Amino acid sequence: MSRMSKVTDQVAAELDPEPAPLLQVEHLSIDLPGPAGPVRVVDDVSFTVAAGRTTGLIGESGSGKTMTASAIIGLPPPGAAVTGRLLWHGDDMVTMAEQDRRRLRGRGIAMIFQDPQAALDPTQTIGRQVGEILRRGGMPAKEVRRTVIDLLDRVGIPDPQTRHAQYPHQYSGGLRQRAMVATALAGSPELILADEPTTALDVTVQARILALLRRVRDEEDTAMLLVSHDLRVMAHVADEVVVMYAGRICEVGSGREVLNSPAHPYTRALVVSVPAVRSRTAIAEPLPGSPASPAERPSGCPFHPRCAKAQDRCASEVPRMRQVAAGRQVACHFPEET
Amino acid sequence: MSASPLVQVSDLVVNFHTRRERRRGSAPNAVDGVSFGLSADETLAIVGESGSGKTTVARCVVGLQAHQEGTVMFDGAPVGPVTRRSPATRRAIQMVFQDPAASLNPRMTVRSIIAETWRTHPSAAPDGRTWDAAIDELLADVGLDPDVGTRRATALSGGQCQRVSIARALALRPRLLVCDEAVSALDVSVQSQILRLLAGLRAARGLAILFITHDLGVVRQIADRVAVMHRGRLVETATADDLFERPGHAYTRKLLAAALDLEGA
Repeated sequence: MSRMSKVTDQVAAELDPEPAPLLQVEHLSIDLPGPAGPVRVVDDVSFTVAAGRTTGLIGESGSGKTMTASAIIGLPPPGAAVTGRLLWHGDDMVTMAEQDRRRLRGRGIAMIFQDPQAALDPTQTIGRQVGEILRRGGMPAKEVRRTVIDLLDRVGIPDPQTRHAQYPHQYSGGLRQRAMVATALAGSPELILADEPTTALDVTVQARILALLRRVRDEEDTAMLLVSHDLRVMAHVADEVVVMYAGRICEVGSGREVLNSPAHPYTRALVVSVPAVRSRTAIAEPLPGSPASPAERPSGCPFHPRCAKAQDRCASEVPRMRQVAAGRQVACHFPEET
Repeated sequence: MSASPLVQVSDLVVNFHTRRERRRGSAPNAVDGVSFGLSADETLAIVGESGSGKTTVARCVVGLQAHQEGTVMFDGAPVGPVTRRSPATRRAIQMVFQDPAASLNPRMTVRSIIAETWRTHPSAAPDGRTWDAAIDELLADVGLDPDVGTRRATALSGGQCQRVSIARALALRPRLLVCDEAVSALDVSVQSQILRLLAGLRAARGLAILFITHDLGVVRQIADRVAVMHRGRLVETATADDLFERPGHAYTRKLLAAALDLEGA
């Protein structure tokens, strides 16, 4: 099905020189019910995900990165009020009929969760879970089996002929995450949403899963929205990055440029706090305080109480996103030279 | 290094075998003949992947885990599980855990969490002044305002909880602080605050630190020496500079090669 839509997209692309991006997030806001009235956990967030590219959503706790991702996959927490537009090939997913959204889930957009142990059903074989979306699409059992074995092989699970009949407990953490990637790929999605896909894994396993995700992007031409707090992971896989703080975006740009020469003081503070392995670095000058909570978002720029460059204006006026270079936007009154 | 280390672990063996496994004698040991020394005011990091046995070693040193073979010497005397240790030894070795929220009682205020340590160890209780003043001082030492004292752990951020955990450990004036993934669950912008705090406390109080982590970048910043564990064994122990510049063991090289850096991506 998505193969078909890819073909029609190509046709459309030939007719129209500027095809719509795969996913456009426009003025997305999310309010969660709180004890003292609704809390705006995501505030006026806009960015795009281009086909076949990996976009990284960076943020610490309370930044709203996971909440943004949950709105995109259409599974916001109960009671959440989602406003703004989520354009999938130009169609708004916020107002889309639930039936259409459900069809999109798994086939148009698939998800990889942080904890494969919790995301996999312990009572079902890996093969059954990987093949679920194929079976539901009406594929004959024999073909499902063949496709599943092929998928497991593609994500680097050894001996897929035997392994597909095993249960999650017989898999190691790294293999389980590979099975999750296979499950996501089963629906031939155009976009894979991955929420902290390597955080629970050991370094040696993490490196292999990241290589797999890069390969998936290149070989299957699948776009990816990677949600993580880990800048090192982002530096290795993200083409574009979106940096969030206290529910708002503070910087958008190419991963290489943003992480090499951050323009927003917050991004800069994040980058210098990452300890290096290949050279000895001093412990970074820490930021004062803790990440701002969306429930008590400071006035003006939410980062101003922790920012060394903050001036009066930062406390009173919310900085607008503005272009500082090609493809580079920053929400700061006094951005660093890039 | 001084003549006799503060902690000397020799040929430590720990296993979690079932009765059947013990009979068959085939299952591997969780910790398999580990030896290392740690001198006063030294920071030793134990690194390894999950299941390598690094946390089990830390728990043996603190006494939360009994070992089957080998010895753990503290200040020249062998020590066993915490229930068989003298109050003085229990006081001298304190631990900071990974999950800042789970290691503090959610029903107690920060003040009572710290005061509880003095009720358990009256010998460490401040004399000649009120406990309140001593608690304020401890909170200040870890960079917390006195008014945090009246709050409960559930009302604190992760970084604040970890500072309280450290204050609770310092309340007993320990000589060794065992930190098991103490900064792993924290946001990066908060992680450097806690690392600075630990480095400062070590310098000010002459603390020895046993630092368990999987984050090699953090190790490079704070450790004097590093011990690498793999499948229950210590494969290499070296000064931090040597380990990162001239790794000797194939596994250490593999671990370093897999570690990501921001640069050179």
